[in-house]
Amino acid sequence: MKRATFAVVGHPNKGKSSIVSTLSQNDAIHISARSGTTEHANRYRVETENSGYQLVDTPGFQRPSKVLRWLKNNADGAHLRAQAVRQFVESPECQASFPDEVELLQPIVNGAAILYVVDGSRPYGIEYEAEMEILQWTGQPSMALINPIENNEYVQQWQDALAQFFKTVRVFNPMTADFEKQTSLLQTFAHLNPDWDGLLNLVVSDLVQQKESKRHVSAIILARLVEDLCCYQVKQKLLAEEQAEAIKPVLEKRYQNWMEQREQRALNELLTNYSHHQLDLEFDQITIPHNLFDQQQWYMWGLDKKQLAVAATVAGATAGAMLDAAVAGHSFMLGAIGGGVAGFSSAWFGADKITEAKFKGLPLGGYEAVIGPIQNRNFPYVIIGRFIYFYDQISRRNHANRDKVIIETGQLQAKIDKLEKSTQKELHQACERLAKQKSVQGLENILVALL
Amino acid sequence: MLPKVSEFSQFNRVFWPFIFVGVLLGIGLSWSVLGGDAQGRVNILYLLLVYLLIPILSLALSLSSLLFSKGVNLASLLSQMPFWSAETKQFFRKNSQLGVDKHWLLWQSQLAAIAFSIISLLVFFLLLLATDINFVWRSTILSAQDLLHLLELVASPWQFWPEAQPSLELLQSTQDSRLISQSTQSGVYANWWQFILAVQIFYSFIPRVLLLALIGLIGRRKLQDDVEYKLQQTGYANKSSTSDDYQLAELIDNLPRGLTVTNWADIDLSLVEDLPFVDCSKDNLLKAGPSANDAEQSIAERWRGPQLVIVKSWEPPLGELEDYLENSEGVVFPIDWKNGEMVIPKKQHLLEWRRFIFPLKQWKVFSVKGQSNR
Repeated sequence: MKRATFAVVGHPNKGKSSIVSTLSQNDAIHISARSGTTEHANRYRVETENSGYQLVDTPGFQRPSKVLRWLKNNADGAHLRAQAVRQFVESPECQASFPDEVELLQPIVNGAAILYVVDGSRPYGIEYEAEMEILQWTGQPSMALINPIENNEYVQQWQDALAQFFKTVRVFNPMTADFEKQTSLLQTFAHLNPDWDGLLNLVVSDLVQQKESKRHVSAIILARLVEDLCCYQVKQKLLAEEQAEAIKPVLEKRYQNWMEQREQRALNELLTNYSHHQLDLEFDQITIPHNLFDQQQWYMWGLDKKQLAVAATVAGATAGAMLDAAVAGHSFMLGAIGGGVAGFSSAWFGADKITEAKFKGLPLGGYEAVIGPIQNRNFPYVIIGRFIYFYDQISRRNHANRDKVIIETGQLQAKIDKLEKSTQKELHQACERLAKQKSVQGLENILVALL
Repeated sequence: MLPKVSEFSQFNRVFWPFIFVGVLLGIGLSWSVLGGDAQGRVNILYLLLVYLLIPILSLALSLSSLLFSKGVNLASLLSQMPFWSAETKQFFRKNSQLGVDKHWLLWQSQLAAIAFSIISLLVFFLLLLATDINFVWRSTILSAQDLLHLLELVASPWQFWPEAQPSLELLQSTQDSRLISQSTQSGVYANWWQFILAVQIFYSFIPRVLLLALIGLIGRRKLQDDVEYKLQQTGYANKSSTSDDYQLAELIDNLPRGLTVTNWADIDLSLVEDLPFVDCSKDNLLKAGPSANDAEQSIAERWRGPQLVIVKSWEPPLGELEDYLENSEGVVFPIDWKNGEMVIPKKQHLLEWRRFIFPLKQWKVFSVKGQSNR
C-alpha cells in the first residue's frame, strides 16, 4: 500500500517546518525566525518498526493572488480545477514565475494530503483566502492546523474562518504538544484518507512502543554513567611523598575533567536517543568533594601492598610446587603451601623496607598520589538526580524547540517517594553498593522505574 | 568521522598473564610427555592425551560457554578479584556493561590455547632436533588393529598428507612391552613424528585460531549492536551546522515628506494618521496587495512616486510585495496594533522586514523612534 503523505503548506513563517520537525522527531530540519528559509519541498520519511508515513515541508505561498488569477484563467468550470492546478505545476512558465507555489503544489498534485498551517496568535486576514482557495482547487483531502505561536488570542477567529474551507481544523502547537497530542493528531490524519487508516494506526502503536524502548535505553545510559562515575579513580606513581603532594592539583583537574566528560558523553547519548542532534547544552559542572586525595606507597614493579602480597604468594607457591614435583608429590604439597605462606609474609611485612631499597641506583618503591573514587553515600543519588532532571526535559522536548538545555541538579527525592517500597529498597541497596564501588547486576532495571 | 569499534572498546586488548599461563602449560606438559623414559621412549597414547584429548575437551568447553549463556560467569568472578589495578577494573567494568565480558574471557583463553599450541610445537621441534625420541605405544587390552581404527579416525582431517597417516605395520613395529626386548630398527620409532605434528596442528592450533576469529567476530558484532555504540554512531552522523547569515536594510525613524501612502494589507489607517508626515487623505492614498481589486492594484502598480507602504509587521513579506516594490521606491512601514492602538513591532519582525528590504536598494524600513529595540 502506498505510504500516507502529507504536504505541510501555508503562509511563510507560520511554523510549517516546526510541525514537520516535531512530528518527524527530526531536529535537523532547519527552523528559522527568517521567512523563506524553506526553498524547496523537502520530504521526511517517518519510519517506525512496522509502518511509516511521509511529511513534505514546503516553501510558503509567495504570490497566491497571482496564482489564483492564473488558475481562474485556465479553468472554465469546477470539474477542470484540479486539472488546472496540474497544468500550473507542469507549466515551464509557471515554474519560472511561481517557483514557491510550484514546489508546494507538486506533492499535492502527486497525491499528498494537505495540512494547512496558520498562526493562531495573530488575527485572520483576507490575504489568506487566495491560498485556501488554491488548496481547495486541488481537490485533495485536507485539514487545517492552528499553530498558536505566541498565544491563543485569535484561535477562535481562525477556527471560524478555516471552517469555511476545511472539514477538519485542529489546534496544534509544535513547541509544546506532548506525545499524546502528537499521536492524537496522527489519528486525525488517518481520517483524511480511509486507505491510510490502518497504516497510521500502526504508526501510532509503533511510536508508543518506541517511546518505551527509548526509556529503557535511557536507563542503560544512566546505569553505565552512575557506575563509571562512582568507580573512577586517577593515580600517579612518584618517588617521594612531597612529589605526590605537589601533583595533587593536576590530578584533581584530570579527575574533574574526566567526570565532566563522562557525564557529558552520557547526556549526548541521551540526546541522540531522543533524536536531538543539534541542541546546545549549558553545563552546570558536577560538584566533586575536595577530600578525595590520598597517597599510598608502591613497591616493586609499581604494585601496591596488596598486589605485591598476591604476587609474592603466587611466586612462593609456584616455587614450592616445583619442589613438590621434584620429589614426585611425596611432600604432600607442603612445598606449595609453605612457599605461598612465606611469599605472602615476606611481602606483607617487608614491604615498607622495599620503598627505601634501591637496585643499581633505581628505587624499588615510592609513593602514589590517588584521587577518588567518591565514597560518599549520596553521590550516586546526585548523579541519578542530575541525569533524571535532564531526562525529564529531553524526553518531553519537541524537536521544533531549539532553545538551549540547562542542566542542574533535580529533585530526586520526590521521584523516589513515588516508587513502590520494594523498588525503593532495591534502589537504595544499589546506591549503597555503588558508593562502595561494587557492581550491581541489572542496575538499569532498577533505575528505569525512576524514568 | 564515525567512531570505530576499536575506539569504543578495548575488546581486543591482550591480557598477558593468560598468555603466560598458556606458555607455561605448553612448556611443562610438552617437556614432561616428550621427555620420555631413560631410553627416550615416549608413549604415543600419552601424547594423544596432551595434544588431542585435552585440546578437544577444552575446545568443547569453550564452545559450550560460547553457545550457552547460563552458568557461572567466570569473567565476572575474575573481575571481582581484589588484586586488579584501577585501570584493569575499569576495563572489566566496561566489558561487563557492554555485555562482552564473557566473550573477552573466551577470546583470551583462545589466545592462551594458541600460545600453548605454539610453544608445544616449538618444544616438539626442539626435542626432535636435539634428542632421539622413540615413539612407542603400550596397552594391555588394545591391539594394533584396534588402535589403527582410532588413529585413522584421528588422522582423517589430513588424508592429503600420507607421511602423517598411521599404518598397521608401523603400529605393530612400534608396540612396546617392558618384558620383550625390541628387535625393530631404531629409525622406525621416529616415524610417528609427522603424525604427532599433524595432531597438534589440526586439533590444537587450527581449531583455536578459528575459534579466536569466531569469538572476535561475535564480540565485534555485540559491540556494534550495543545501544551506546549505536547512539554514538547516530550522534556523529547527524551533527550538522546551519547559519543564518544575512544583511539588513537601513532602519530610519524620520519619514521624508511627500510620500504617497499605500495600504498593502487592508489596515485600518486611523492607526497611523496622527503620525507626522503621514498623509492619509484620499488623494494621497493607494491600495494594493491581496485586498485590492484589479483596478486599485493596477493604479498602484503604475504609480512611480515615492511611497510609504504600510504592512502588518508580523506577516512575513511575500513575493507579491517584492514584485510590487521592485518597480518603485520609498519606505516600508511595518506596524502592529492591539485593541485599536498601535504597539511596538517585535524586534524579530522588524529584522525580518529589514532583511527582506536589503536587496531592494531604493527602499528603506521605517520604525517610529524608540520602537526598534522591543
